[in-house]
Amino acid sequence: MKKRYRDFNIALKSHVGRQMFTSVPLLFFFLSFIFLVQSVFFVFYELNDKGLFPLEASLTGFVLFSSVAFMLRRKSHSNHYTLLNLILLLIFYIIQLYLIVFLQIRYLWSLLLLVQILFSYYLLNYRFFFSFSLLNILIYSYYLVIHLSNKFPLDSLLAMVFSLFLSFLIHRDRRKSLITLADSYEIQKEINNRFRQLEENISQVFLLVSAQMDQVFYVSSAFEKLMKISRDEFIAEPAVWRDFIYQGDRLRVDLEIDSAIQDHKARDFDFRLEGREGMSWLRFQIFPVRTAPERDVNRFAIIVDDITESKMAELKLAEARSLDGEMAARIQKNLLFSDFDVPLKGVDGAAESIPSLDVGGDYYDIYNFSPHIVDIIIADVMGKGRIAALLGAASKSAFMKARLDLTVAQQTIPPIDRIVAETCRSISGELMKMGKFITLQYARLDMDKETFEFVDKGHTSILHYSARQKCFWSLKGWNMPMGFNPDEKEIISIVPVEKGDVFFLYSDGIIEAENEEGEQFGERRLVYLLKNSVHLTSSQIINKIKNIIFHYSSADSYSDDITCIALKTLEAGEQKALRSIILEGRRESLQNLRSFAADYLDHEFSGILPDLRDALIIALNEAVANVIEHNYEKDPLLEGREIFLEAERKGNYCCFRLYWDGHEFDWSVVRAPDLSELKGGGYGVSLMKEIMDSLSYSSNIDGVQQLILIKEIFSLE
Amino acid sequence: MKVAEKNGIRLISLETDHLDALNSDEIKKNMISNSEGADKVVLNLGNISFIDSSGLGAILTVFRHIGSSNGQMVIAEPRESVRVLFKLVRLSHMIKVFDRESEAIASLQ
Repeated sequence: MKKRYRDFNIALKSHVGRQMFTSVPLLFFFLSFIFLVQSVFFVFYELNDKGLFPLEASLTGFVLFSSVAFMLRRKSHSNHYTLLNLILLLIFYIIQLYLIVFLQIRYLWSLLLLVQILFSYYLLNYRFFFSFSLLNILIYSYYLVIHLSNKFPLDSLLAMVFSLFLSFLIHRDRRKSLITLADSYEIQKEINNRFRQLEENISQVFLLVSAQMDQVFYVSSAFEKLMKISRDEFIAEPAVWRDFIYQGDRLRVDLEIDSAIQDHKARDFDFRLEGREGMSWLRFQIFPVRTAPERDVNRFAIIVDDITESKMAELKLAEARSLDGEMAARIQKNLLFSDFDVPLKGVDGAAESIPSLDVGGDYYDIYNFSPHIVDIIIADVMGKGRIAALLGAASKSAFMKARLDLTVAQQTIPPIDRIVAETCRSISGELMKMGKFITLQYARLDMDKETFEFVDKGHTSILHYSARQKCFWSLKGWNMPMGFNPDEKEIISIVPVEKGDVFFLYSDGIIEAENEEGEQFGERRLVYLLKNSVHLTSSQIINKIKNIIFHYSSADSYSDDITCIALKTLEAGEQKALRSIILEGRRESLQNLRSFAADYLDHEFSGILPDLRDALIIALNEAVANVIEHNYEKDPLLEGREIFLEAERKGNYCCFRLYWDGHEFDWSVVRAPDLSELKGGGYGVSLMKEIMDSLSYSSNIDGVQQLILIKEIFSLE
Repeated sequence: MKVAEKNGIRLISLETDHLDALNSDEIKKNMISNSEGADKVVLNLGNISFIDSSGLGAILTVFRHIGSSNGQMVIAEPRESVRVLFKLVRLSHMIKVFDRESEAIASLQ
């Protein structure tokens, strides 16, 4: 739109440039020159009995045409000047006829004729051009008739032919340019009309101001409606409008305007105006203007728009949204996250979840089965925001239902693998259809049995601080995230609990928090931090972690949800006598292991079923054989190192802990091979799983590996 | 390892106390060489008090070897401690196990 207008302007200029007289003074000069020539001719050739009359007539023409020229110079663009011009021309024709026919003046009239033709073509509006040409032809024909009948001298006829020729030349020039000065006024008028139409009908205010914005060149009429100040008042004192800017926006508006003045760049900003009729929102769009392409920015065009209505709607929407988000966060926090509201005997627990958005995909759930048994879920739904939160809520309710169903059906506290399996069966299918998955730890702290059980569905590990060993174990389980396989067999890992132990469950938001260099917080840092915090209470530990993560990530908000739960056991049964054995890392030690185990089981669990005892020996043998095979036999560096076995009775349970310093346990054959395939090996791990209630494997940051094997020897009934 | 031949049935009795990761490879090789040419084999485990998964692997390898030449193999007189393992892996679905050697021999005739 703007471009087209500019193009039009250029076209207009080029037409005007092609005219014979580009300025009125030049025209005036030309007229004076003609008059001088006339006077000379008159004095030398025509001073006769006709007196000064022809000169007077010529002078009248000069004065009249000059006045028209002056009027045109005032840039008035009214059409009646061309009309006046036409009348003047007609008068001149009459004067000419009079001079020629009655006074017989030869040179003078031919020159006057010349002037007349030039003027007529120059000043006439295009609209009258053709009619005037017709008039010209008629008059020349009349001259010719007079010449033939009155036998005029030949020089008059020549002058006439010459002027006709000149007329023809100008005519051609006119045809090329078409636009006379008057025409350009016509166009100007049309442009002005269009501009006026725009100006009067567009609700936006537009202004043209100086480069320092202290002077107003133009302001459109809509200004008065918007600001309720008259335009004259504003142009006289441009700063007057600033008083109406809302107090709180003044500084910002000043800054925006200053930077526009300094940078000569377009700016766009909104602010509030405290007018006489209340508050309104305005949008300022400032555009730098160059009055000529080669010049610097020397003006600004400003468009002011009243955006009160849209702004109000926008604000209302934002308000509604944030209210919505706040509400969602509140619901998630208060209704979906249960807390340690029921105190657990001998346990100090705390939990915290900070979503990265208003709601997050992380959640935790705490459920007390009894004053001694608490179930804890910590879960991370893939993704963020409300969809993830909704999925979290759905999975949480699925867990509730599974827990309830199983409790009712079995009339006892259901084992955690059953709860997880039931939940997984009910929601995994849907998760798979949506392409979503949930990683979680389902843990149970049982202070009766003094055990910590968990099913790990592909979640981050659980950190277990052993007060006795003074080190942190990173506990990992076996299962895949929920949403991978609905029929997966859930595997429980059991860890014995002692007094002063701390269990720290967390979501990956903690270890994946990044600092400015993009370095992740990592598990090592977390372990180090926890190691120095184990003397604190659970909520103190969590606050400390939260603050450190916040400082580490050096961001206003966490990039991922952060959830953590800390459990600290304050009371636990006295440490039972432990029995332990150190085994050399050779196959020959297997015999020692078997006799140690047999002796221990017979002694500590007298009355144990022989089959069970033999099976336990097989499982232990498999575990140690696996460690020997994959460490000491494969890695010469580890030669000579030893395996440490610790046996302990915990109520009806028997607990073996195996420690070694080296490579991870080889779990490569977790799935039991089919016996009918008659494979020569690979039955070890599945045998261990078959025999033991739980195998839990962990390692600490010093590279020590731990395998805990647990089996219930005497069942409660 | 004691090897005897009776009515076309080869009797192999293992004489070690255990069949575990320590010796299973060696015993496996011996068992295979001692069962060469026989299509009916009784494996007597009476002396063995412990078998682990590698020992089990050795027995299955021998069983496969004999089976590949259309032979038959049964196990006789495993002790209780060994039976535990057999039960755990449900070995009886694959190989017949007899309490007495005479029953084992009878089953092959």
